[in-house]
Amino acid sequence: MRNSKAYGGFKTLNGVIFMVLGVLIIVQLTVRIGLRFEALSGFVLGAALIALGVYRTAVFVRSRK
Amino acid sequence: MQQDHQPELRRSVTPWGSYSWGYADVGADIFVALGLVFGVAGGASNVAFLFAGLVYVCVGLAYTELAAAYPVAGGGQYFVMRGLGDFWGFIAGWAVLLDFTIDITLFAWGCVGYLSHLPVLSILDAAAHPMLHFWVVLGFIAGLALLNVIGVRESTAFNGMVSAIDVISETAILFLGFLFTFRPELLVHSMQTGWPDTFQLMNGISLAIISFVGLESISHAAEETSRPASIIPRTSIALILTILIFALAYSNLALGMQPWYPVPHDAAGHAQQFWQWLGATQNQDKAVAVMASNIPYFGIAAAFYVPIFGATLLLISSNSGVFGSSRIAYSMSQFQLLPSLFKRVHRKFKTPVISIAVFCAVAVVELVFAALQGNFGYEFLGDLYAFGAAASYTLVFIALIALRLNDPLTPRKFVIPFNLKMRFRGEDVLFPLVAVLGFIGIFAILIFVLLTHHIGRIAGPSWLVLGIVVYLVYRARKGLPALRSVPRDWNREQVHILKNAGELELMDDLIGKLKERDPNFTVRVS
Repeated sequence: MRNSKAYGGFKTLNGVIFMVLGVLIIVQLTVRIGLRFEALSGFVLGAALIALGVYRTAVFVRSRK
Repeated sequence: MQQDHQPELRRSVTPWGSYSWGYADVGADIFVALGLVFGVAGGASNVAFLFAGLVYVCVGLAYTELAAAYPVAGGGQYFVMRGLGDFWGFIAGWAVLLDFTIDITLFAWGCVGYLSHLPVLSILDAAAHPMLHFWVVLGFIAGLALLNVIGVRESTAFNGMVSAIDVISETAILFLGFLFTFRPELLVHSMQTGWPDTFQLMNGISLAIISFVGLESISHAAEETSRPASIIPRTSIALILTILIFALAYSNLALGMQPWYPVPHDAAGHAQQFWQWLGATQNQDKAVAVMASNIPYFGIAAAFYVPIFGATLLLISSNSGVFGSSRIAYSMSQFQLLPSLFKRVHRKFKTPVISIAVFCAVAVVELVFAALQGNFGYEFLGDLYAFGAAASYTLVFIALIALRLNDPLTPRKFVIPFNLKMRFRGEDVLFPLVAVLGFIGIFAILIFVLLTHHIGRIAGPSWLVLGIVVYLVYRARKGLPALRSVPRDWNREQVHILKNAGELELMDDLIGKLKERDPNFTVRVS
């Protein structure tokens, strides 16, 4: 299972969802409340989601090479 | 009765197993920390979690590098002993022991708190029925001690299953919460109207660090992880990011949440915001369940399953405190930092029965003191937990810097980014700038704990003083150096560690470097 195509697809999809969620949070905060101090923690949350998504996808892609 | 040699642990922990060992411990922390932090930091709770979270990222990276380079059970205590010597290794281990004993009580308390959110078990509420609550928590601690003495503990597979369900469950709470209840304008309003004074913010930051305690578990699992140098960095980084995301997401959601049900008035009859209610004494030990039950539609099911699930996760975490404290004490006594009494294993069950009994007894004493605080018992435990974590993490950063300088030859498959290349004692070394930042951050948190936690600043250092007395008396009786270290051949030990870990390429690499430095160096690796 761990090295199967289905598992790889799940992991990549998972990573992409994290990235999309991260982008959505950053965009929503920017549009609704702008670049303010109150949004800082939310921006870091969005960045962490994007980082997790990129990391999951990158680890999988690297393991397939 | 006394065991003379420790059988080697079987390396059967997979990447998911390594992740779930850590998650079962760290993942439960937010269930405890959320209500405590909101109770003191109010509208700045997300900032408190952000500050503590950034420090935690540095702590996590330090543990990742060290656990991958030195994959032995012992965690922070072992790294500090290797980097700074026996005395400081003892201090780090003793501070971690405080955390593990608090872990037993705090998480058993939280477990009962979450169960009390179920209507049928509301009688267990600490604020309403403190005596009953006390006896049930005591019963849980005694039960866990007994299970550990007879050698029953949750398996990696069980941890993995609970972790998987929890990640899905928490993701659902946060996803649906942000989708249906989150109002960014309310977040701004809550932060502006509920911003605490500097003292409370420092208190909140120091409590927020407890939502990130438990990375020790990955280090403890390192000795049972196959190919740890490759696997630990992968699982650790995913774990660090997951926990950071959960902490930031819960705190931002709570501040900007429009709850499904009306928020009850406070004790004085005044209207209050949702986050104020979440941080109120009666909700501090079940904050995640309160949040989940306030999400439209999903909250109906969540009101039943989140308390049960949260209680299960917290009980596992409490158990890891029993297991971890006995293992640390065992490891410390093997390195002659604690009396050999702690190494003794039960004749029949082969478990470190004295360690388990002693540290569970300490946990019970802590429970008694917490119960005597009345409504502030949970906060009292949080104070001590924060002290132990900040003290041991501070030493881990110093140990990382010391090991980079004094042990540059040990191969590191994972190296924390942002380093300064320099020469030290004739060797090329990488000076870790992130460790310096992390040290400043965690030391600041340690200062915050001492400044703002009235009990933590007395009880925490008292624990350390007690330990130092035990250590000095023991070392004097054994004729061992008090403040200096027992001589050990770390280079040969490192070769054996890498061999036992199955990291043979890294072992050959190390032997090659050691021979280059000293052509007469020999080591037996059969």
